[in-house]
Amino acid sequence: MIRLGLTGRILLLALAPVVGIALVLSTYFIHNQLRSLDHTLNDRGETLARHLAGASEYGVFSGNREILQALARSTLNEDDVVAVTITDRLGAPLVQLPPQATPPAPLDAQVRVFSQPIEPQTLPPLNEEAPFFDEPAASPEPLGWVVVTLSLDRLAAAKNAQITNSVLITLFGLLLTLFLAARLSRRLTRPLSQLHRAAEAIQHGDLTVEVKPQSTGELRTLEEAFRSMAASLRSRRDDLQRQIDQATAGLRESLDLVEKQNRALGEARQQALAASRTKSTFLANMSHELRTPLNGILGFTRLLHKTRLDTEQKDYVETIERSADELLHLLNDILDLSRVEAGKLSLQRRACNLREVVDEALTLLAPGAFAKGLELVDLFYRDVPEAVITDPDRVRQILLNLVGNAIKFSPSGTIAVRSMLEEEDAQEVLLRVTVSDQGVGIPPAAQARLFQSFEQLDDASTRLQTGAGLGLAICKSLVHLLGGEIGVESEAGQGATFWFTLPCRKVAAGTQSPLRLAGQRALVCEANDLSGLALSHVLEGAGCQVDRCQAAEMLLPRLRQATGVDIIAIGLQVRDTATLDAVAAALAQRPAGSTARVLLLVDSVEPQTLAHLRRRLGYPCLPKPVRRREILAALDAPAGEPAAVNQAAPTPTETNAGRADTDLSGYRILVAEDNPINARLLDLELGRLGASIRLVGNGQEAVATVAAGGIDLVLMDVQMPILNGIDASRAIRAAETDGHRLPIIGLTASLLASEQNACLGAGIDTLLSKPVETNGLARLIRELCGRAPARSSHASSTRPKLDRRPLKAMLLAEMPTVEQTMREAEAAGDWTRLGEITHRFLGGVSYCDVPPLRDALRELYGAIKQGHEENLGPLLTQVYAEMDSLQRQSAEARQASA
Amino acid sequence: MDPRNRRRRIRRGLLGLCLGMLVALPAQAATPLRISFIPSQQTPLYQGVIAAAREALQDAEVKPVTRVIDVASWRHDAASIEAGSDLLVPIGIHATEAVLRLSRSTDILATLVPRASLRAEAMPATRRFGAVLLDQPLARQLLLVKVLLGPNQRIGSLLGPVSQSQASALQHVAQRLGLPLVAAEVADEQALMPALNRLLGRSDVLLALPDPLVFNRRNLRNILLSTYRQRIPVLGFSRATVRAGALAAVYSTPQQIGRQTGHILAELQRRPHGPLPAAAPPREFEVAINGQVARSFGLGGIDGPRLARKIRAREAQLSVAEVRP
Repeated sequence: MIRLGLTGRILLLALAPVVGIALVLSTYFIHNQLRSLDHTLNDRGETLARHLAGASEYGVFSGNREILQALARSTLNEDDVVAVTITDRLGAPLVQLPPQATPPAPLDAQVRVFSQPIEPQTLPPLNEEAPFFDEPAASPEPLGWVVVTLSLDRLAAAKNAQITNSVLITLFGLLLTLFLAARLSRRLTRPLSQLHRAAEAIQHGDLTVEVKPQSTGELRTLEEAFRSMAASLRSRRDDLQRQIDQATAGLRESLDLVEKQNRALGEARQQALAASRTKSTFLANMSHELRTPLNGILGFTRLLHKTRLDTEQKDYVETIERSADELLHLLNDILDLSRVEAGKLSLQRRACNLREVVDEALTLLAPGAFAKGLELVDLFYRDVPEAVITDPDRVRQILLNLVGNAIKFSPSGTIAVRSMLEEEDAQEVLLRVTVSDQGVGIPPAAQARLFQSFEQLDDASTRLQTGAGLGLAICKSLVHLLGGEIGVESEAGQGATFWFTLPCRKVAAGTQSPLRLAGQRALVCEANDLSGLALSHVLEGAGCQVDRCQAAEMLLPRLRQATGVDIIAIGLQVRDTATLDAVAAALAQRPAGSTARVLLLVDSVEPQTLAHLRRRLGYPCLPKPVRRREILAALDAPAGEPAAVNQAAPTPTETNAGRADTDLSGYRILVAEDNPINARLLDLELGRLGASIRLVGNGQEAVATVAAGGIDLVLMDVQMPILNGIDASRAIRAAETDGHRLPIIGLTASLLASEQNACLGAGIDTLLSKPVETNGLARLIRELCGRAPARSSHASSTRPKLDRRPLKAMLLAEMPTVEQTMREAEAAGDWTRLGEITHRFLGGVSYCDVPPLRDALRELYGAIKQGHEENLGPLLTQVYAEMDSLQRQSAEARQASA
Repeated sequence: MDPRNRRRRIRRGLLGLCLGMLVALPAQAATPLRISFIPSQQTPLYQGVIAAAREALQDAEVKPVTRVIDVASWRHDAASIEAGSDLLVPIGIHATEAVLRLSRSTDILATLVPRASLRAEAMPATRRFGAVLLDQPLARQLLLVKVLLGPNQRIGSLLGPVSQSQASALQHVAQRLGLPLVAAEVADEQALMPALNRLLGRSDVLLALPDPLVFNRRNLRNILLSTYRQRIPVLGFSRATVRAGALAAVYSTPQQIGRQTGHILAELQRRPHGPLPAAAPPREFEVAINGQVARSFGLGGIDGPRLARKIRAREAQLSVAEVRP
């Protein structure tokens, strides 16, 4: 199906019927004409034959051939007659013209044969009026035959002419019709095409199209309607466009403005972020610089404290120590916060005992709390799994912060730390720790600003303590880093409860502590409800059946009643002398045969206080807060014997030493440190804590010493000659066979993350940055070793001879050699060796008050480590210059003092 | 029958008729004859004959009982019809033949019959038989030649199987009238043209005698053409032949024959036992002329009735002996 346009269709409409009719008619008429020609010929032939037959009758009847000849000849003269034959009744030809012409077969296509019988013409019956005889019947036989042959040539010619003429006429007629139809249709199609084009243009949005009226009648009406429609569309569209433009003009201006502002904001934001990052980075970097000298202060202040000092000196030293401690804490906070904000703080998750973490934090803060008369309660709910995988240092830090704040802002009351299980599934637990105090509280309005850095409660009435305000911000960052949430619930004047959640992975093998006190009955007497609850929890957790009373006056009656009580645990407050007396009395009047073990818990860590109470009450006293391990250990001793298990037995000179968590007695520690100053420091510090120290100066000796055995832990300096700490650790790990992993702690002055990763990858368990904090180190050592240290003290420590000269003198003595070695390395282009030397020297310089040299060395070391070889020249020059200046200065000083 | 006898008979007949009429007047009270007309066909021709006969009877004031019986009925029931008839009057060839065959005893008066059909052997012997012929007397026909064409005309005649029986009579009459006659016999159709050709050279006029083989409607035209080409007129035997192209003919109309039959019946009624004419030729006749042909032969202005009068006059002059062998 061919699609036709309008013109085509009109023409088709006009021509198709015409053509059809023309064809039909012409065919019909041609056919008719041909037939008529045929008929004419046939008629002529038959007529000729008939007439001839009629005329021949007499001749045939009378046998008169002349007559017949004449007749035949005259017939032959007729058009188209080619042969005439007259035969008698038997078929014998009487006349044949042209002579000798064989009568053509009737099937000859060129001629047509007409034959007629020669019937005698009969008269009317003769016997109508005179019936003389019956007329004889007509003989069926004719008298003879007449055969006239007509040629078809003329007929054929006539037919052809007829056909040709008809066809020509028809064609002519059709062409004429076509021409006329085309002419006439154009009158229709032209305007229609115009309208069609205009409609298409309008459809595609072009309203400018013009429609010229060019026809009449309905088409004209259509054209004019089109024109007016297009015009009205145009005007309406223009109106609309104007309105839109007006409406959007203002909008566009606003949009432009907004865009500009956005761009400006974007830039400002980028700048702010960059500034913040810079600031954090700066802080992170700088804090380390700040801590190093501070640690020096602290370390040596402590050392000073251990020397013989008179009271006044001791007082001063203690003040210095406290101040330095505070400063250190502040700096640590700033460092942590900035590190978190700079994104540099990384967690070190490991399996740990959460209860211990909480206990340690509380133990640390206990003195402060007790000094204010506050009660510290540690409620570790029984459904909380103790062994979890998290970063215990950070958790401890958070707790220290929160509990510390609670202590700070509570003039009185109880501070309770609750550890609860919030959610649990097969792999993870969600723990919730709350720190509640009964202090001044925080108004809701202020709660929102709490966790922002540098935010203090500005309200003068609440400002009881000074603080930089960083603690909560750090807590928040750490909690978020650990994957939890932090918040506070408080009303002004109603105390505060700080809470945080802690998602942890469970340690695969849940170790259930055996119920060491299964089946035993205990009596708990504690005035403070929460403390009593905590104590009961601990005892019940170990399998005891606990009975509680709160008033000390009830104690004696209970004691008398209770038979079969195996454990008596009494909580005491030092200041509450009445209770003390009551308890003392009760205990003195205890039934003689009672085999119950007695446990006294006192809100003091002062060794004197504890000793005094012990003497007075006759039973050992443990400091609060309740620590399960201590209690269970105390109760382990056979019943009846006053257990003298007070591992925290103080010695007069050692205040901090001897504390359980930093006690390193029995630990055999290998210190691999090439810097003699650092080595000496570690030796002193750790030895003071009871560890037996072996010193080696390089990694190779470290590996050998470890291989020889008898080492519980290695302190490995990362940068050492011959074999550095990383490779040594790798070697040690490679040599380990029996699944026993030797703890290795790495020490480094560098904070480069790449170096840290390398250390950890080599098998170092944890990395501490120099200078190290001794107590923390001790705790870490205890943790990593995990088992009771070997009691046998291999005290065959090959301590190198300690150099007691002043550090600076040592340094100066060393300097020429160092400079020489550095120059050699520089000349050889051996940057690795140069780095080793620089690092080692830097360690020692850090403790001597020589900032310029120290800075230069640090810069040099940084450049070496980062591979900026092109900068090394000028940096080395600077270092040499500083060394020179230092040597000159000391020489001048010596001269001056001489 | 020769012309003399015929004339006598005619006279006798006429006389008898007159006498009969005289006698019949008082003798009207005689028993009516039961006459059964039996036409060969129920065509106007035969009915005209019967009507003319009845009219003649009426004119004669005799009242025989006449009835008309068609031939089929006769054939079917000839005996009863015969029983109820005193006289059978078959009209035409077929009726005559049927009556002759099937009747036994009743008298027969055949009418409108050609002489040829009355074969002698078929004639009844024991009863009266009469006939009124259709054929004109030969003398009359020859007289026509004379009056029309003049004397000394050679007469040719084609005689077929039927007309052959009249050959000798024709010869006799021609001789009497002094007309030379040439006759050619035609035995079959093929012999026709040769016979005709023989005649044409030796004749001045062709006398046609009715014969089915020769002068049927098929051949007549050709014969006429042939004779015309030789400028030989043909005298026919009926008005039809004249219309067909013969120059002239003497004929009698069915009415004339019917009238004649009626007269005979009237006579018979008056004299029931009188004789029946054996084979009476028609008394009344007319002459038919083909004007065109006459003009072609240069004979304009001839008049049929005049010729008839002339022939009648000549006939009367002829003695019976002259006309009867």
